[in-house]
Amino acid sequence: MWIYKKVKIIFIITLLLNVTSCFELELENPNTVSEASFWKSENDLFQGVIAAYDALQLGGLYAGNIPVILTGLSDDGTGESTNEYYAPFRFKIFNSNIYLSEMMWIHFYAMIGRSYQVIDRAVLIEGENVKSIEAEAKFLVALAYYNLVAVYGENIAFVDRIQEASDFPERAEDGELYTLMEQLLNEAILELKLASEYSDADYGRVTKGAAQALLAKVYMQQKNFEYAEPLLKEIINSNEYELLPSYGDNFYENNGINKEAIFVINFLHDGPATESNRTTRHQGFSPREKLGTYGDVQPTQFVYESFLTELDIDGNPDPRLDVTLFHPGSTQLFIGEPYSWWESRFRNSEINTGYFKYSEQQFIENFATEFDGGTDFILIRYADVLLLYAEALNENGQTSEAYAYVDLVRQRSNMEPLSIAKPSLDKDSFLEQLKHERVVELSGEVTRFFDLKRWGMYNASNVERDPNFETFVNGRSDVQPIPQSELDLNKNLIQNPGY
Amino acid sequence: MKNILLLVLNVSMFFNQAFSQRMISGKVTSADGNELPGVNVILKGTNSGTISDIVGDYTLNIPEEGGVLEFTYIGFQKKEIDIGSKSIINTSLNEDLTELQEIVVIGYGSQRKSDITGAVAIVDTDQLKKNYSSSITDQLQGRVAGVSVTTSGKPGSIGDIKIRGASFFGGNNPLYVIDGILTGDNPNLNPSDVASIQVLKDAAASAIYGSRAANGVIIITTKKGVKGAPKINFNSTVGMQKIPSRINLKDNYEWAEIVNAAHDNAGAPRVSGANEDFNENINTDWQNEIFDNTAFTYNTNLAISAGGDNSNVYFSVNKFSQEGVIKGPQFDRISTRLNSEFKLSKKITVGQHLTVGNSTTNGTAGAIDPDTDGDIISPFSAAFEMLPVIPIYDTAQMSGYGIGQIGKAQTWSENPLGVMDLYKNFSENSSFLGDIYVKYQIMKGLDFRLSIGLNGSFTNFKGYNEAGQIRMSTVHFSGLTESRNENFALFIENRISYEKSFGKHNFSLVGALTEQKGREKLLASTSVGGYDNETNFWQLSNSTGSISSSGSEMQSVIRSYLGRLNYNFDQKYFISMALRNDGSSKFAPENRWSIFPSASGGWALSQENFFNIQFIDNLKLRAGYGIVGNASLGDYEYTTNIYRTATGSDIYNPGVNYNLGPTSASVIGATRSDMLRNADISWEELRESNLGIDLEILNGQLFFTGDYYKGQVNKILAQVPLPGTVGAITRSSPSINAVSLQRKGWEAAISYRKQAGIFQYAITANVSHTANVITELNYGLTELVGTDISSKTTARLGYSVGKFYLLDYQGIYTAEDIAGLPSDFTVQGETPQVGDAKYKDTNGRNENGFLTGVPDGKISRDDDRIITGSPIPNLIYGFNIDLSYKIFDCSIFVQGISGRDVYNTYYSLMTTEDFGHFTNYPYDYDPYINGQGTDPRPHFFQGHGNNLESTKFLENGAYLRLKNFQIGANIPQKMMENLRVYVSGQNVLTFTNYKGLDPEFEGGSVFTPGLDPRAYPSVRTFMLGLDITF
Repeated sequence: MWIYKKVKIIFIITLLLNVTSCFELELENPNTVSEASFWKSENDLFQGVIAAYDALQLGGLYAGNIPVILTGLSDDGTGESTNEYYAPFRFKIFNSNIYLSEMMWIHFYAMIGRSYQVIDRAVLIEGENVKSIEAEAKFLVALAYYNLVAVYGENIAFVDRIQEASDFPERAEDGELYTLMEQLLNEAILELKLASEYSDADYGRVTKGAAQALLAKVYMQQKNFEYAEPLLKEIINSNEYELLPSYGDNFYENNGINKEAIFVINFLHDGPATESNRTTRHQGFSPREKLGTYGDVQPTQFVYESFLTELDIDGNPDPRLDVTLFHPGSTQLFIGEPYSWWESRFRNSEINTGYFKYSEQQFIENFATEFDGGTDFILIRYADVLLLYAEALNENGQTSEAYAYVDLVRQRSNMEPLSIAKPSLDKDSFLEQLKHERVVELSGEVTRFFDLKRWGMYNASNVERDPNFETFVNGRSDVQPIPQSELDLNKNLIQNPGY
Repeated sequence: MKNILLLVLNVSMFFNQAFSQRMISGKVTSADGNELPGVNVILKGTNSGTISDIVGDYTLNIPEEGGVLEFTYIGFQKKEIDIGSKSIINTSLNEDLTELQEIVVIGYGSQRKSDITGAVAIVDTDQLKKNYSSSITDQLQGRVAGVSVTTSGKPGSIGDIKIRGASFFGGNNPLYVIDGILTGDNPNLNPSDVASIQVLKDAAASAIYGSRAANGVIIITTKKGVKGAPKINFNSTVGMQKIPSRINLKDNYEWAEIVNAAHDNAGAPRVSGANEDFNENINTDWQNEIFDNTAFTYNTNLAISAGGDNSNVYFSVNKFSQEGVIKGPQFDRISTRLNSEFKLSKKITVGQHLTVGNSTTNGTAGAIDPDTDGDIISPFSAAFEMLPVIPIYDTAQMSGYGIGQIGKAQTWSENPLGVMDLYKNFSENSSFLGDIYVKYQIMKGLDFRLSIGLNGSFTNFKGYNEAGQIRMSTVHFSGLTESRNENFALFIENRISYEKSFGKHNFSLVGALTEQKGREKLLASTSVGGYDNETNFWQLSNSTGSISSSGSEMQSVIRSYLGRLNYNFDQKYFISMALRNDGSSKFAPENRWSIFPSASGGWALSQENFFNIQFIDNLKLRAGYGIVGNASLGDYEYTTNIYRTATGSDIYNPGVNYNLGPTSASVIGATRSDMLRNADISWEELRESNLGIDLEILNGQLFFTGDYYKGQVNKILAQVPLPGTVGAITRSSPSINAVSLQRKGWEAAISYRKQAGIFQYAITANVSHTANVITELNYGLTELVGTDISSKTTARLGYSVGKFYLLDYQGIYTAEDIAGLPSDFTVQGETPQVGDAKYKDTNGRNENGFLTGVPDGKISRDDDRIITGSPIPNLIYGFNIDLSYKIFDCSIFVQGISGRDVYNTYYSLMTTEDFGHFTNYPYDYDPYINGQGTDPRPHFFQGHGNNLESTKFLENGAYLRLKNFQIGANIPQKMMENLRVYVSGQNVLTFTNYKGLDPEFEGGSVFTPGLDPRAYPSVRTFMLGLDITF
């Protein structure tokens, strides 16, 4: 009896203990996929690289601030606004937490972060296109660093893997980021498809040519023309790209595949209904604010005057002038208003033009909202590559071979071939001529900032072309201050000299 | 001492013996035979009585035969004896367990009050009942030292309650344990059902609740049936409520004069409503329109209690209604309770607790605006933002309500009557909370208990509004929002307890395994636009607008193993040790489990042989130390999620997608969410030491208890901004265990009870102090809230959380001041003039724009702010007197705080900030106009130096409030056991220097404890009540 009771007690207790321990402590989130359980298939990886591309369209980057900042920081754009927002353009730093700069920093590192989520996971995933998707991500990392290094210098945060909340990256040593860019692009070139190997539906993705062009640019910023030259040559010889018959067609939304575009950021006017983010570009180049466009930055007189130095074969102004600028001779309207209307509204006497290129006239007239431009932004254009190739050839002592590539660009715009207009230039004069060619061909396309740096011209002497450079301090202003918030949050970084 | 008191009492009794006809005598002893001196002996129903002498003897003259003798003595149960024809009545009294020997629930068991070693407050639930409120927590206000409660007059609201101050940046709600069921929410209980409340304040006492105890624990036990014939209690009250206070404002002329000056000073054209269109006949007093509503409130309660030898049952039903003191929300609640227990055999007992309730809130008090998905303005803010020159109704306006007009009479405020008319909100909550349990006595002293509990709550919300215009330049769409929230928790507890005494050693041991699973489901749908004002069928399916829906589901599990040992030797030395191991699904597996230990001890000094201080009956010293935890964290927050939404919430939080191909094909991408999580997060913890003293003197008439505590709150979860290099497109700020703070304070409570025949009185008072200081900020944090200019408070190393961060206001500039300023001195970029606000220059920037800490001759809104003020009260106190004479009784309860600075957001809003000159002005605002005035020159431009947040608006937030009084009478009659009527008042009088609407407020967050949120103020209530037992 006594034993029976004990057994009964034990039985009851065991039963009751079983009632406990019935809930599992490890719970799956029923609302969304966690990071740990994603990244399984090639399609996951593809979605990951789409997110990395999406970063290009962030407000801090090409949908908004980058064209404004990089143009404002160089001598082809100037801004008169006394708003602290534009302090970087005047090389006057009141507070290194300037919103424009902070957003650019954060968004470029977001692009790097999104890309490394693809790169670091690709090794664990099998699939036919895994390697090329990974290569696209590598290109995007290099593109972000290419810009960051130009703006902030080389001693910025070195991120080469997925970051966690506990990561406070170290400051990059001199050369370290260039080595990383070269390595990423060299690896990417091996895996990337040619433009023609993609279907039309994939237009906009990184091609082998794009990676080669970016790598060439990376080399040329380091004055390594020797390595750049064959890369550029391969792009030209690939026959993947060609100049459009009409220069202006590059800068309108045409819903087609542009053979001159080597790498584009694919904007859509009025984007698909499922989107709410910026698929369209912010208009920052209006002569002044009007109808939802912003007049953040205007062309300098130097840009306008560059067009006036040479007439085309028929004795008319360079046809690229009307495409590039809204100027005193413009016959077209800017947001429905003639030049005479705008003339009285410029900020001051130093400014009398606005960038017409990418100004989305076709839509702004009808749909004047802030972020409504749908023209693809061409980040690497074949004409740029031809001129870079000419520059590389010239630097490498093959000036006479270089003429042909400049002429391709000039003749498309009805300009006399350089070989006839200015034959037999020596190396230095040819470079000077190329500087001019790049202004009239590429102004308003965010190349001048890099050109000035490459040519060693990014200094206070630019004041003769852009009054904003008056406050430029050599040795300090050639790089921007690292945003103070980033220094506060990561003690491994230090501020650039002079700030 | 004792003898003198007895003598006095004897003398007083002498006067009652005038009509004596016969004498009765006897001896009073305790159950164990000790003679009891000072026992009250009264002939029941009369004023005749006496007191026993030093050896327990008494003599009493009584008028005639028969009658009943009543023996009452503090610490002992009352006894009644029929006199009959007896002339000698000897009796013994049993000790009364409701005093020191009272059994107190301390979590997973109970303990005698005298054995307690932690800081445990035992709430006098009889006193609570006098505070009229729908919530038991509101009734705790001012009653318990160290427990601060902030109440609001909003119908159905449950006051915010904090034990020993706020220490965490998430919730600071205490843990509630209701009949053994753990819940973090304020309990929605019928206060009449509550039998006892204990508050576990220190870490040593609360550690048995481990990871959920760092904000303190409130243990609520509901009533059980009492052995005996069924007793029915009926209680009903009806009350009237009104907003007791106003802020006097300017009238139409005064407003126009100031607003004109503000525009003139700014060089801006005057608004026409203060100038050519000024209409002297319009002088709206918006407060009167909104506040002048008398609201009724009703509470009816019926309870039945019965019990036999083997079973008992308690049943109650309660109906509570409260109208709003503004046209707006009405709260109705009906709740029922059934508690029962059955003894099935000598060893097995089963029982249950269950409460089921339904409550509804109808109306508006700051409605949801479907256009923005946010709250629209509360009427308590609108009353001050609306202008006297705007009529209530204006047929020229789209919806017929008077509103601000650009260039005429400018205010962004919604017309509060328009809000009340057009916006309708309804919410309904149904809930149940209960458990079933089995107790099995395995052997003597060894008990096993299993309980299974359920806690469910289901809320439906529906809010809708007609399209219209009730605000300047803003036409709002019609809209409808509906949501469903389903909360469900299941508890299982297995407990085994063992008690044993041998010799003078007394042990008790308890061990338990508990598990809790919680689930929450949310569904919500919003239609923006889509309703025709004529149709008015407010259903989602009738909407022609765009409907968006959302839904989510959360789950959590906590598993715990716990044990406790209590030991005492000879009732002199007490030791209590507890250990709890908690595992939670909220943390990653490697951080999931944590152990929370505690130990405390007590020494009953007065039990020692060497202790011979006569008038001290009881003296006990207590000390304890414990570690307890907290988690200010939602579910699944240790894992980062994947973000793959095409449509983002706005342009700053866009979706992830990219367009490929020449046409509009969009591809959805996937990347980690910007809400990066840190897998390393773990429990927040409080390590606290507590020293206490319990003292009882004068035969238990005077009782004092005091506690001092000092604790370190470690690993506090804070939102830590990460560097941009982490890869988020918006600043990622995951919760990280990044902050430590120290908190310390003390509490004291004193009570004095005296019974002098038919006159009784009791005085209780309590006071407490708490303070915190941030001792550690990790992860590169320099402060815990942003430094943006709208922020008026800060949380920094070395300071308490939520200190004010404001410009230091020094009055206005005189002509001499201006003459003495350097020529390049500026305030917000402008050279100050006579009558402008003068602030102290405390900081400056160098040529590169970096702060130097040195004054620079420039006052800037951001840079020259100072850390100042004390938003956390220095003292919180309550004071209560209960008096009774014959059938009458009276109680007065006063409650208050002192040593607190508050920022008067009413005045700040009305005279500065970015809405300056878009509102009416307070009556005592005296701006410098035409060479007269003591306040800064009015200036229309936002950001002007005269429109800045400054110490000008810091006020003394101390108050003393006659929170409650009650006068009642127990009417003698024979029909029923008890018949009581009473009148009572709440928030009757308030003494304060604060110029805002109500000094009793809870800041919007733990970071802004001193900012008046301009919410629903406390209301004044007068009521009439009836209480019947039969």
